[in-house]
Amino acid sequence: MNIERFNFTVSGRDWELHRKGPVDAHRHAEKVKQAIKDSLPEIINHGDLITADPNTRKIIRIPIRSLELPDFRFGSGGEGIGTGEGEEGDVIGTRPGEGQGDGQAGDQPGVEYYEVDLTIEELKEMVFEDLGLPYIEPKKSHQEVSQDLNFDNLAHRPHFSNIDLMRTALENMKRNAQERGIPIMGDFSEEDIWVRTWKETNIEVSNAVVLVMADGSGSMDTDFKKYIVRSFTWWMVEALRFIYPHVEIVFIFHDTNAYEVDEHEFFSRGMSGGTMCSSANQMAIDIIHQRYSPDEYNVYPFHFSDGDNYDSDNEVCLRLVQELLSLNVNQYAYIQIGDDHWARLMALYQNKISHPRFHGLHINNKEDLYPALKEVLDAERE
Amino acid sequence: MNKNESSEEYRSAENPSEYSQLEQGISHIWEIAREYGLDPFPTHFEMVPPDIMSEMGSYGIPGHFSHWTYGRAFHILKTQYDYGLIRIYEMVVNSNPAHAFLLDNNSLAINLKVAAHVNAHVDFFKNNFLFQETQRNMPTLSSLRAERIREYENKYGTAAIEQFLDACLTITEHINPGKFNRLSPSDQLSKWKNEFKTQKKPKRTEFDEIYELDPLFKKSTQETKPGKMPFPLHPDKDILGFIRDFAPDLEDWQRDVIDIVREESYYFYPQARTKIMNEGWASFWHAQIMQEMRHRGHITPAQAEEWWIVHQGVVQPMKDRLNPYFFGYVMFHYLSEYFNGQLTDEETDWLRVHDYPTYPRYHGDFKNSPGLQEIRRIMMTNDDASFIGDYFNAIPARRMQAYLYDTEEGGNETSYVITTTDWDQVRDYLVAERANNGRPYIVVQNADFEDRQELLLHHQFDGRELDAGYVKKTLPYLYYLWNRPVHLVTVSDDRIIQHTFDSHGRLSEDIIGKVE
Repeated sequence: MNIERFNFTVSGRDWELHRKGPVDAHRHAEKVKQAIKDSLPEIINHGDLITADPNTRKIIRIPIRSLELPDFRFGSGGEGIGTGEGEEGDVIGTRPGEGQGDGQAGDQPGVEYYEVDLTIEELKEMVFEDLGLPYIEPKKSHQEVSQDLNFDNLAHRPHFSNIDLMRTALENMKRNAQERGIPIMGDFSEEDIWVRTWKETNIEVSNAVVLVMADGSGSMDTDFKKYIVRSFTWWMVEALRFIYPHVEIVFIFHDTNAYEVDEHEFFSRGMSGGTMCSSANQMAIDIIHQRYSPDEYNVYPFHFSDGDNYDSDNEVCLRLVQELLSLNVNQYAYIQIGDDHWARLMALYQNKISHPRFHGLHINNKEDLYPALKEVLDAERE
Repeated sequence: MNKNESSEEYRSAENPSEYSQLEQGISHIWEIAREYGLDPFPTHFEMVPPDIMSEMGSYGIPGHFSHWTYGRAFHILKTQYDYGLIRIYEMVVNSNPAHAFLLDNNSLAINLKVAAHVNAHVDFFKNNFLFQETQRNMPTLSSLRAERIREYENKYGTAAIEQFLDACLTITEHINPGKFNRLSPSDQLSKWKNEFKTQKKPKRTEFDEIYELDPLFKKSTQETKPGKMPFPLHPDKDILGFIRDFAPDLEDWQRDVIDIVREESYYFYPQARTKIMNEGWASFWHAQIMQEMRHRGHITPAQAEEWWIVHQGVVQPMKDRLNPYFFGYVMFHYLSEYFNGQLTDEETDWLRVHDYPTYPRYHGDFKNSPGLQEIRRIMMTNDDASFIGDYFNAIPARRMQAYLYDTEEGGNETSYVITTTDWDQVRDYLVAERANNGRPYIVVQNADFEDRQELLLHHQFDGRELDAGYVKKTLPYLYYLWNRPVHLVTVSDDRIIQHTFDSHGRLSEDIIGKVE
């Protein structure tokens, strides 16, 4: 090529050695992860995460505002310039109104959203990491014994419903060979017939139920408090799933009355008005009697509150908690979120109940969560 | 794009016959371009796979320093390419020799079209007045700077460098374009002292009348205590430069990092200011040159169809934003026809009615036409704002069917509604939007605010309000650089607002006056 004449060159060098993009992209990905962590209380507040089947790889789509460096800029008035057909007053396009966190990414230039897909497993990992919670080691605890049938034996008895055809035919041919010298099938006699039979084996089947009670008063309606309730329950359920193959969860929501609700409603419902903690405990007792007899279930009632309760109701609560404990529940925990020094219920519980399976727990910040969980679970292991 | 396909293409690009075809084609393009008077720097083309192209596109200069924001841009481009949403055809660096990148999985016809486009870009870089001061050895400088930043990372830790770069990059646009060189800090101070001593009261000039239209002007003069020299003596728009010179607690390496960011900002500034013209110029010429390539039989009819389809995609109008390729392309087309007297009768009538000069119809070869001379002159002597302000009128407006729109909230959806198709309103909107490259004009007003070395910035209000959320997010970064409380005074809802980020890490917003 005549470079002097035309003044250009073409080459195909290998640029792989000069690359920075992948490294910097990785750094950006780390920052995205950090951004997700920073908004975990917000993120885990939508979607039914605790009751989601742990075996499905459910994916949660999280819209996070795209990471960008801020700068001084003008507020966008929504006006702009375009080119194409149209007269004054014509509508050139529409955009749905502001969605409520349903992952609707804006299509307006300038507003960029990242949608990050996380499996529940990954989200859980992040929550546990954020709260300094370890992964749970499997540990056997209470075991209920039930019986199961195992067809793993054969018997030489004429009971035709469980006949083992193959074995019977084989025996018949063997006998024919012995008696007549030809291994053919036919001329069955009773001694040829083999039937399958069973042995009764004991296998460990166990059930557990977690009764989550929470005060629905307005003062409990913050992201932080919900984050604590949800992650406490979540972690507890995870831990119990290691111990019991089958864990059921009952959500009880209360103000002055108690209501049994599903997970979604439990975390989304907000209510104002009075608080009577006894209502939830009473409902827990009723539910245990009706559906979850402690003879068949390991029962874990947990009550979350911000400590605000009618004074007159405290004595009733005390009586009901004592009744629950006498029903032989596994562990009862009363968890007060937030530091309300006027809360009398906790003091009353702690003065009057010395039962080893009762736990009065305070959670004021994220750091308190792990010791609280540990106390309940350590008691379980003893 | 299928992966196997691209690697196959890559191999074939290494095949010498493919290369010689491309070189042959580019030499024809260079020849035609020279005949039309295009005058680029020597240009080096590099054939790269899409991944490298995405990377070059996100860093802007080969050898550029590392930062996560470029990683983010790269990730986005790469993902969009992988999903077939975007295809960067070309990337060209303003340097001498110029560096351009071609995609190795593009067909020959497309890469020739891109090479023609590149030729005109480099011509623009070389000849437009705004680029005369740019550092033409940028790729080399950039690599050296990246090397320095890497050394600082080794010495002070990547986290410290990242944090500092984050802060610098938030204010990277705040430079004073006309003024790159600054006196040393001590020279600046003695110059100010001298000026202040000899002329305590600034003389009232004919410009004061204009300055007084700024609602903040009166306030700022009242603040000055008699006998004490304002610091800085004159408001300084070069915030990056000012911080480098006068921030109380910066280390040497931090001043160096500010320098790096600042020099890049000066380097890229003219490109942002001529986006429409530059893309328009390149699109106009790639079309012109490729048509000539077809006439001379250097490309086949099938190849001609191929580049034309891509060209249509590049210069297509957009409903909700301005496509600079389209806008600039239509403008240069119109201007060449205007000066050659080749407009339609209807268009010429409009010009006559509105007292525009008209030109006699030109019948000769375009190469020697007055139109070509005129658009070249316009290319060399304008930026986007003056280009639009001086040359946009009803004719290109009608050709591109330009309109302004606004949003209307209704029910659960937002509608975009055309508010006007008047060409002069469109022009005024575009020109106003381009003031200070579309960025708020903010100056260092006082660096010894409250006699406590606090930094006071003033936003020179032009009717467009700042986004208060972004102000609140940006001030902490400025605090990090200045290491003292920072304040920004601006106007919102006819009130003068002072945003503050104080030494306790608190943001506050005070109303300090009303706009009269």
